[in-house]
Amino acid sequence: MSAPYIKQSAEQFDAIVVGSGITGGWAVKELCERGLRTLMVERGRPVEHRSDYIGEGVDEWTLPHRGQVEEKLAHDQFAEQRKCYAFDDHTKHFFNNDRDMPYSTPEGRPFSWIRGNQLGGKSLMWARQSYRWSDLDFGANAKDGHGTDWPIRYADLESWYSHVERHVGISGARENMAVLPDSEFLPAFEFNTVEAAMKKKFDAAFAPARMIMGRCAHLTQPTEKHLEMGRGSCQARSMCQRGCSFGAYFSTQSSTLPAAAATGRLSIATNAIVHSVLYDAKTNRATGVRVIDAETMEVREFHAKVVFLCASTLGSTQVLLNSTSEAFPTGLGNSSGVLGHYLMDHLFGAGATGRVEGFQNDYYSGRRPTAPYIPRFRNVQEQHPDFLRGYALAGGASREGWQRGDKPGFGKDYKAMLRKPGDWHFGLHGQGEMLPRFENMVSLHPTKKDKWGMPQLHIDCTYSANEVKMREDMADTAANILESLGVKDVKKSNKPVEEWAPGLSIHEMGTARMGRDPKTSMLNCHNQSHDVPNLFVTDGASMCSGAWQNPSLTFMAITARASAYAAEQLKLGKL
Amino acid sequence: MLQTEREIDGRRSALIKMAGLCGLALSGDALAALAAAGKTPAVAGLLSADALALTGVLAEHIIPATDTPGALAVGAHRTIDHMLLACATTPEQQGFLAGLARVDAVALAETGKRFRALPSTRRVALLHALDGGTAPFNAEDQHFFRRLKSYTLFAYYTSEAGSTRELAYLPVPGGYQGNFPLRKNTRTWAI
Repeated sequence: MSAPYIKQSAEQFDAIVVGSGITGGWAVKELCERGLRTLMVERGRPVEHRSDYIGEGVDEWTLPHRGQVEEKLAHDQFAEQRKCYAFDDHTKHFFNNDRDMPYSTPEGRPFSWIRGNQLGGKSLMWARQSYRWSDLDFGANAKDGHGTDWPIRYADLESWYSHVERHVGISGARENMAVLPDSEFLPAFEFNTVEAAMKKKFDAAFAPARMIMGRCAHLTQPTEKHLEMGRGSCQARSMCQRGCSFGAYFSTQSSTLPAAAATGRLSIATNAIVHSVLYDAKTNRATGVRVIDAETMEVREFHAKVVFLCASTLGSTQVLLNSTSEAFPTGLGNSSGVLGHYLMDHLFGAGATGRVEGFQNDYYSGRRPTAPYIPRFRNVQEQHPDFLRGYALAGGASREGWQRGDKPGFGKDYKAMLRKPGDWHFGLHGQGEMLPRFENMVSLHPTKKDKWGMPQLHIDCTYSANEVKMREDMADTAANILESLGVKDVKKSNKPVEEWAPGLSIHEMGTARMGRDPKTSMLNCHNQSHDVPNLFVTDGASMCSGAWQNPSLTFMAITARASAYAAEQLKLGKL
Repeated sequence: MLQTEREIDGRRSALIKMAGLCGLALSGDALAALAAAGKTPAVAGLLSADALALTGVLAEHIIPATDTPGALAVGAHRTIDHMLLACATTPEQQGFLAGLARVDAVALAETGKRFRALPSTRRVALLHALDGGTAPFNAEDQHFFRRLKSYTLFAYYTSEAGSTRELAYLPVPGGYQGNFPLRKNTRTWAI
């Protein structure tokens, strides 16, 4: 890719896209391919595909701390980011520096804001799980009255799911389950021997629930189109968050950015921190963005006919809250007053594990980058007495490796024992839906600023009784399932909020929601501001509810759909 | 600086591998640069010379040399020492130092000699008691030994010899096979 980087420009672009992660990448691809000269604005540094994956292919013994991060560095500069499972010495350069980019929370109400801070954003380190949502999800708010009704349904997104899936490449198997529509699939990863045995038992005992293989954005069998883009087969290294030079998982760098650049209509401004969206009250239009140069602190402006915010849920919300004017004193497009409210994450950190007897002559080869998955079964037909909505269970089976310091013994026999894989273990862990609640909110801190002078985000988010009850059921049910499958020594776990605060599931959503009524929502059914017609928000901020599935695939479909709409409206002169 | 150099080293070895995968050849200049980068910088640690030596002896008892190198040969004790300094919290450091001191104190009380000065059979007998948390050791000592074992396994199995000679090392598996029969010579995957 010839890097179309710019520092400043006097031209009026057709579109500006703020952010370069999963949604920013999709927005620039779709807008450029539809003929719009588009500027992508990224607050972090440039990261080039392959050459900037400095942690990739690095053996542990060549690293100063064998892959662990120095305690002082982690403590001083990555106090929140270090809580993320993917944070280590191979990946730490892809995580936000907490010292430079602080935020505040009320005393006793922690929130873990995990961020990327580079071109590609979190698309470089995401978990790659990819699931369609269904009308069980899009209809949830209307059914139980929490949150506002989604202004779209599955039928509005179905073709857009297909559109993005063919480009991304989703590995999975057709299952024909109503709660989890099938995607356009590349071949699924295999179950190992123990998982296959567990699946057989589970499917028989718990029908219509079913254990399926986790669907993920990996090229198990690249198409001609993928190969032409320079992407190759997944090698089952499962070190994805270091970056993948094979381009085998979807990231901005491997997939959407080269497609956008190939049009010749893409420009990229990196190290450009968006301070606010520029607004002209006379025309009631967004006219561009004001940016702070991350390195020089210089303030610049970029101008465009359309502005897309794809800066992550809380990133986009922070920019909107900071874009004030006489017409919009509490944030651009916030006549409804809902901006910053209805923050959601997912419920992780509760489940069960145990030991599986037998299968001593079975092993596996390679590190599968996904795992078995039990789609939602709670509150599909019958209503659970304790909580609304539902959850999936994900997990799988593996054999103990060398990490057996807790086993008795030492010496030659001990070493010989570790040379062979140990017992099989099987675990299941919940991924649950959080209700949208007005009280879970972000605002700009009245006095605290970061080193670039941006007001810090103040995040106030807690679990309600519904979330607490659901997490208990996730752990109980996972344990019951394991026991009924014959798993031994089953141990339940349900992490307290200090160990798994809201935010740590890294599925923030909802703080600039879509809706049917401009009085109670920010965006219409096309992710277009009710108030300012050429302003779009297409990341997780726009979600009305969180569903139980991983949300990234839905972010992509919604972004592609909104981009097509914006391009069409622009051509019709309606923006 | 140390970290940066090591990262560059790591990146270089990664580049060699990627070049190999892509069928590319490295130039003489590139090889010379790689050789120059191969010098091991001095590594700082937490332990006194005495404590480091004791850690080495204990580590070798946990993972001895067999048909593959043991903990001492791969410098597991030096890795533990460095990890304690760089990656452990203060309570973890203090717990480790106290645990080491207990091993010597108990050895001295039982035998009149420090642990390292004992013949191997006496050391092994004491270690069985330590591993089981039985007299003259206690449950807290046992907890320390489990931690030391975890540190030793980490240092050994993330070393080059531990990963590639003792275990099966497959950085680029090429795909996932769910049904892979365990044969007589199959070893635990290092990663």
